[in-house]
Amino acid sequence: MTTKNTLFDSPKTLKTLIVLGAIFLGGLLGADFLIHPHASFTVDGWPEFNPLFGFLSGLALPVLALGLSFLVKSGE
Amino acid sequence: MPLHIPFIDMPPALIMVIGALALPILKGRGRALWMTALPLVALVTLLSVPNGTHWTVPFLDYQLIFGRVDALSRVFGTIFCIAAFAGSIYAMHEDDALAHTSAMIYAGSAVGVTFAGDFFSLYVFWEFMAVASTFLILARRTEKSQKAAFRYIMIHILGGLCLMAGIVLQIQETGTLAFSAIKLASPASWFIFCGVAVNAAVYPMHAWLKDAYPEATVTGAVFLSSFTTKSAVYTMARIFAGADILIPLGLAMALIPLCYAVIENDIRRVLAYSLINQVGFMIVGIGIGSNLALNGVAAHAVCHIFYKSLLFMSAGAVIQQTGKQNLSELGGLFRAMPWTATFCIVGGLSMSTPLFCGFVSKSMIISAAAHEHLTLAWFALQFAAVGVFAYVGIRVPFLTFFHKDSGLRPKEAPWNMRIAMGFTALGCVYVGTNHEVLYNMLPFAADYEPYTFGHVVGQLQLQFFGTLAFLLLLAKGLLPRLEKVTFLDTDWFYAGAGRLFHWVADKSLNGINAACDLLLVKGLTGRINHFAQKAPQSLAIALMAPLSHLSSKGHSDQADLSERIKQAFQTGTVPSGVGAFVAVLFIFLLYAVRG
Repeated sequence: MTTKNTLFDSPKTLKTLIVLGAIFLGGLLGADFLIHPHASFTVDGWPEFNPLFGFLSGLALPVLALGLSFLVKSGE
Repeated sequence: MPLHIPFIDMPPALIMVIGALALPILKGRGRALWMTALPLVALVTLLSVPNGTHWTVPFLDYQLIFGRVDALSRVFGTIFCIAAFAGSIYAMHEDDALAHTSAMIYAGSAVGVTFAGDFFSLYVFWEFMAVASTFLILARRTEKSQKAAFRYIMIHILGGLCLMAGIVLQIQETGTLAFSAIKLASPASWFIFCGVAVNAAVYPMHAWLKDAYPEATVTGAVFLSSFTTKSAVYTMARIFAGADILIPLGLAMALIPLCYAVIENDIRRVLAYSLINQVGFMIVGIGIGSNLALNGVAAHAVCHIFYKSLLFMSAGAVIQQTGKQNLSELGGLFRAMPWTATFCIVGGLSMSTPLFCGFVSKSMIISAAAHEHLTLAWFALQFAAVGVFAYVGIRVPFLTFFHKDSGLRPKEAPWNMRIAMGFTALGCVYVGTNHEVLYNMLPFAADYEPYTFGHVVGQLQLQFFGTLAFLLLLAKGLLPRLEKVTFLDTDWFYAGAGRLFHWVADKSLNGINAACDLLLVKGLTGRINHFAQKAPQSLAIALMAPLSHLSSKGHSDQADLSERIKQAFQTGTVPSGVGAFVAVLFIFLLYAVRG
């Protein structure tokens, strides 16, 4: 079957998206210095707490899941 | 005042349940129209009814209440009717009377649970829900779905029995049927709690959900995702608000199924696990029990129904159009199914991104945890929120519609499915951008503003840096591999307990049976039988031997006599003289003993 190329098939588009994503994330990091974040506890008032917590959570979850999968994996 | 149009002046639940009975006799567009009209009529009815008690029916010494209308029941009832309406549009293309009828009875029963003002009517609608929803799984008509449906109904029967036991004990203790707050202390309250917890998929009684929902029909899963857990959340909020035990249980729901969602391959099973994760947020909110937390529970139930049914709709569209349901077999479908891809992305973003519905509801529960200084719960909920957004909200649309091209080029979903998805996606965006509409419906005055600069930036930081971690791990090939394997969950323990019960029952009851057989049938009865056969001849030989000896016959004659007597007894040809002699002797002995 023939496949028509779409916007997301173009490497240029992907590159643009990656650049935009990087700018967006950079902006989010920079925003921490512009705003006074509302802190519920002491630790979440630290500079760049949210990006760090988010990133570490994103790293930790698959590690936990992988550990769990060794315990709970059964046959096909 | 309730509407006084005769055929409408009935509880919204009964409009849907009784109306559903006409579905099997309707065909084609007539059935489709009737099915979509029922939830709308029910919605109009419930919106036209003022707060208070309506539709009461005397029953024995009690009053059954089919219309306890207040802010909490109204918000759940409204979203149930909207979900039933969207689900009906989504299911329009199907020509399956069984699925349509059971879906509408199921949705109507959920509305019935919401407006029940007493335990009896709650229980009746509760059981209707269990039975009707089972048919949504059976309607797929595969061997796997039949087995899943059997397991589903078994666990719900168990939950229903717990609920019934609790209600009966509660009536004995209090003498009232009132469906209201109960302190979690008495046996009755614990039974009710367990019964409700089964439907709410509270950990560790959650495994039925990930087992059953992926085996339901494409349209059935959309209905299932909206009603059972949310009606249980409503019931839990009504009865057990502020019960501390709900906080750790809710956290377990928010965290453990999330790990399963990362390693599962089946797209609907991933969504099922994320559903448990989100219900976990609501259970934590009920456990906190503050006004903000309970507002958050009601708001998140509404938003979760919107975005989770949207995700189940888009997953169902993919499964229907491709015949595949494993994420490892999908990819690149945005080329062929751009509408479905867009709606799925909206569903994913709606989990907690600003401008989408989840943002305005989930953060209420997390903020409530902070207000109550529940530090550990706050961190756990933030972790779960980041994880579910990155590994379900982003990963599911990404692996399904982008990522590697699977080469699949299916047709776009049917028009009715796209309309249903569009309607639900619109709901996600509308609630996300007009949160005051939702907040005005909540049970308590809402003093919460989600759109502060700090909150918006903080949430974006959390979610998109979590997503960055996911994308980096995916690019490096470091994520757990998606395999066609089964992952054991707590249902392994149910199954293990079932096997243990079977083994114990087999060994104990069948062992007792075998022992009884050995002792009584083969042992005692056999010996009595043996005695009954042998005793007369032995007695005869013993009596005849002295006579034979007196008649001066030898040993050979005595042996011969014994043999003849034995044969005579075995063949039933005892000489009448011997028989008469034995009888006389027996009577004599009896007389002597008595004398």
